[in-house]
This record gives sequence, C-alpha cells and structure tokens, in this order.
Amino acid sequence: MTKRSVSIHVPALTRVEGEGSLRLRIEHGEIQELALDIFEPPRYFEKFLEGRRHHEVLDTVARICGICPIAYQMSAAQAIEQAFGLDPGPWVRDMRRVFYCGEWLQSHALHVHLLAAPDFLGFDSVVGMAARHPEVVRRGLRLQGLGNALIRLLGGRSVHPVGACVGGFFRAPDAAEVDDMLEQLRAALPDAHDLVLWAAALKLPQDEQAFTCVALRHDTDYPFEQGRIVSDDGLSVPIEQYEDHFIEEHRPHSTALFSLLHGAPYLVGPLARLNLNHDRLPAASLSLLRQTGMTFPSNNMFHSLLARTLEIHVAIVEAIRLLENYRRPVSPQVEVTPRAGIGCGATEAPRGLLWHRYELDDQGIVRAARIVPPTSQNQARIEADLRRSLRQFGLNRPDDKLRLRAETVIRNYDPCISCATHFLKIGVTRR
Amino acid sequence: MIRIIGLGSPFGDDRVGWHVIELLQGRLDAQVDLVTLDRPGAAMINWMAGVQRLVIIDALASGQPPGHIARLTAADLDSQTGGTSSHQLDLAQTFELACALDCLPDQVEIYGIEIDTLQSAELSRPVMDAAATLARRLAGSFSTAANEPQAAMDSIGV
Repeated sequence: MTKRSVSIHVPALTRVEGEGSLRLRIEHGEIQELALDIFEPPRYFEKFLEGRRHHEVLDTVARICGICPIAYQMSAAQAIEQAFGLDPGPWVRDMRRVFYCGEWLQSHALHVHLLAAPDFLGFDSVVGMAARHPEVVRRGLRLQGLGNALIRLLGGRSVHPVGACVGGFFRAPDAAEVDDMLEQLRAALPDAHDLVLWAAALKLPQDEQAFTCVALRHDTDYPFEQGRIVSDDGLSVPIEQYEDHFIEEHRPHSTALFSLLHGAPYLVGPLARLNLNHDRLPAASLSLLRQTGMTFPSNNMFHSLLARTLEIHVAIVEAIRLLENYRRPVSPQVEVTPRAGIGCGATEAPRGLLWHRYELDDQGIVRAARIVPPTSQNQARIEADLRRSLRQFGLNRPDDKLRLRAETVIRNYDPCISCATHFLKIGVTRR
Repeated sequence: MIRIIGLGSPFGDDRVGWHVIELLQGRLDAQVDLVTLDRPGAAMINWMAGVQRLVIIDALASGQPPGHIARLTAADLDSQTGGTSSHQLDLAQTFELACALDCLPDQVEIYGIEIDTLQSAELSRPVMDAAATLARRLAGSFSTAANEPQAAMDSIGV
C-alpha cells in the first residue's frame, strides 16, 4: 500500500457531452474524496416552460439536447396527450417509434465511434483511430448518417427536428420517400450486423459489479416509447408512479440533480434496457446476439458498448418492420382539445429513461413542468462505479493511468452533461 | 461535384453562413450543391462524399472589424486536440478526421465572415453587407450566367 497521497484533478473531461470535472483524493491508499463536479450552468428549462402553450412545448424541449431532441419531444407529447385524455392512435405510435429509431441510430453510432471506441483501441481520439481503422469509422459515420436521414423523414430536419406535434406529426411522408428510406435501411443491415460482431470481439475490461438496472418494459416490444418502469430488483410500476419511488437530490458539487431509487443509485441506458428486455429483442437481433456468444443480463458495465451496437441493429430492424407496413393516413395528427390536467410521459432516450410531468390548465397552458433526464439518473451510479472500478484497477497506478481509467468509466455511460445541466474535468490529490 | 456548405445557427450574426446560402439559391450552375448545417462534425463528413471542391462559409471571431471576409484553408485552422465530443468536433478536427478517412475533397476553401453580435435576432448591418458581397463573388465564380459579375475570388481579403 502506498504511503503517498494523490490528488488528480481532470479539469475538463473530454469526449463527453457538456462541461464537468472529476476530483479524486487518495490518502494512504484509500479514496477519501471522489466527486463528479458538474458546473455547466443550470438551464432552467422547466421554468421556461411555465406559461407556454401546449403546442410550444415540443419545440422548446427539443433545444435541451442537440443529440437527443426526439426523446424530449416524445416524452413531452406523451405527457401532454395524457393530460388531455388524447389517444393519437396506432399510426402515430408506429411513426414515433420509427422517429425514435433514427435518434438511437445517430446517437449510438456517434458515441460508439467518436467517444467510446478510442478508449478500447488505445487512441486519444477518433482522428487517430480513423488512421488505423478507417473502415470501422466509415461504417460508423454511414450508420450515423442513416439515423439522420430517418430523423429527416419524419422531422423535416435532423437537428432539432420540427415535424412532431402534440397529437402526431405535421406531415406524413409519401410512399416514394418511405420506399427510398426502406432501401437505405435494408442496405445498412450488413453494416449493423458487422458492427455488433466487431464490438463483441473487442477486448473490453472485465469489471463485474452489482448494480440495479431501471428501464421501461413493454408487453411485447423492445422499449422505446411505451411500457412500465421496471427494475431488476422487483419494481414494476406505471410511469405515473415514478415520483413515489425515485427522488432527486441536490449535492453541493453538481448543478445536476442526483436521482435515487429507494435511496440507492441505479443504472439507466442501453445496458439496463438490454438486461431487462433481452427477451423482447426482435428475432433477428436476438439471433445476432446469440452469434456473439455473449449473454445478458450482464453485470460488466463495459458491455454497454455491445448493448449500444445491438440497439443500432434493433433500430434498423424495427424501422424496416414498421415502414414495410406503411400506409399514408388521411391526417398525420389527431385533433387536440386542451383540458386542465396532469400528465406524465416516459420514453427511452438513447442514454436511458427520460421522464416528464406537466400540469396544464384548461387553455392548454403549462403551469408546472418537471423533466428528469437520464444523465441525472446515472450520476450517483457513475460515482459508485468510479469508486469501485478505480480501487479494482489499483490506486497505486500512475496518475495518467488512473485518469484514463476514470475517464473511460465515465465515458462508458455516455453522459450528456448539457442535458443533465445540472457536468466533467479530473483532479487526483494523493497524500 | 462542387458543394458549398453554410455553417450557422439561428442566433444573430452566427446565422451568416446560412444567409449566404439563401442568397446563392437559384444563382449558381446546377452542379453546385448548396447545404446548410448547424455544426461541423461527423455529419459533415457524410456531405464530403463525391465532392471535388468544397466551400465552407462560417462565422468568424478573430478580432477583425465586423464584416471582414477572410479566406482560409484547412491548414489555417487551429484544432483543439483531444477535446472531441459529438457536440463539439470542431471544423479543424472534422477536416483531420476526413483526411484520416481519405475523403477530404481535393479543394477546400473556407470563407469566414467576422461577426459582431449574437444578441440580436437579425444580422448586423456590416455582416449582412459582407454576406451580400461574398454571395455576389461566389455567384460570379460558380455561375456562367451573364448577369453575374465575374469576380476573382482572390480579391477577397485574407
């Protein structure tokens, strides 16, 4: 055991979304302080929404995140429709799922290739990785571009899309647009297939640990936009009961809130979703998973990368299934009649469960809003993982190795600090 | 293929890249493709496929007077190495990645228009004038239409 004291401060964590830092103080071989400091300023979106009309909400919440605007729009639409007692019907449900597939595709493809893979292949950045593994990066960019095209099909544009509304969509694509999209999706299946096998062959750190997974679970489908909130320790509740079981608390070092389930940290995101829903995978994705020889549930957090690649495959398979049955409706939206009420929405953003609650008056004006993003929910889990992973990695290792491992652990969660608003840079102090 | 990409956002003078593309609509030869994007990064690389000549128009903050037009090359850009995120792959990193992937077009020209303010919803006067000047010169360079004044792109300041 070392006698030295170590202080590592990573003042600006890279390859994560947004601004945060990590402080680590090791004394006499023990971690005395470990804090994920989130100093990106709070963004007050919930307050901005107060006084806004229901039809302004989707455009507003899309601005919370440039990577996952659809997740924000879908959770909000669901919540407002619930408050108004509105069922937008099966066509809207199916197209929202297709829309969501586009977001998973582009977000997961970006994270796997630009942010995470360089850690596991020994590069500082995707630029260095691209020089040695150009085909891997090209494949990733093709998949990301496909995700953007799918988003444009229903959203009009891929960044902060404008096609969705409360009640459905502003426009239904025509048959030729859908046929063209189907052709692109089918052509991308081999890329998605190869990506999963590539990810399964990566030498990921072996780091088994105990954690609680939380995700939506639907009766029949892999969860995107519907389901009950479930955990692997027995929770199974309708989304309206979220606040009965989950709390958010402030901690002095973070402008993001820390979420706890029954007082303890938990995991949301691709690994949690796959651990809780591997029996809901489409047949082709399940068959591909079996081909890898990997089994889920897994308690190796680094299997998040494999889960992300498998969800890319799921997104393509699911979008093909839904678009093969496409019929252009008479109207892409149902009529919206405001009424006073409270509604909740919960969908699976690429980074995990995204829960919204709105209180609206009889004019459809927002009186109160609450938004719980995935990264806030993962913050306590990330800190718990860091404590355990760094101890297992060896606190006597040199500072730069400790720092890289800490950053790798954090990036594995794909934290979106801007969304959590409420995040990374590392400082290690040793004594 | 020639592609002109305007980078920008809806905020004040940062919109200038988009504005130049708006001004160029219908004024160029058919083989010149016009695109607006909100950021450089991975998605931009997909717009480089099959392109021989790429022109980027972006807002610039270099300490010059508002409206100053700078003509740059990829080598002139200052990359912040190691700081990549999918929100923040900057223009220099995007070119580095494209180069590593062997998909950087043979010719890359970057026009930066010095901006004034991001506080207003509208473009500031000097930036609007500079956008019109740049659009006129690009139209002259990429159009065979007789009514477009031909202008040598080299005449734009650096």
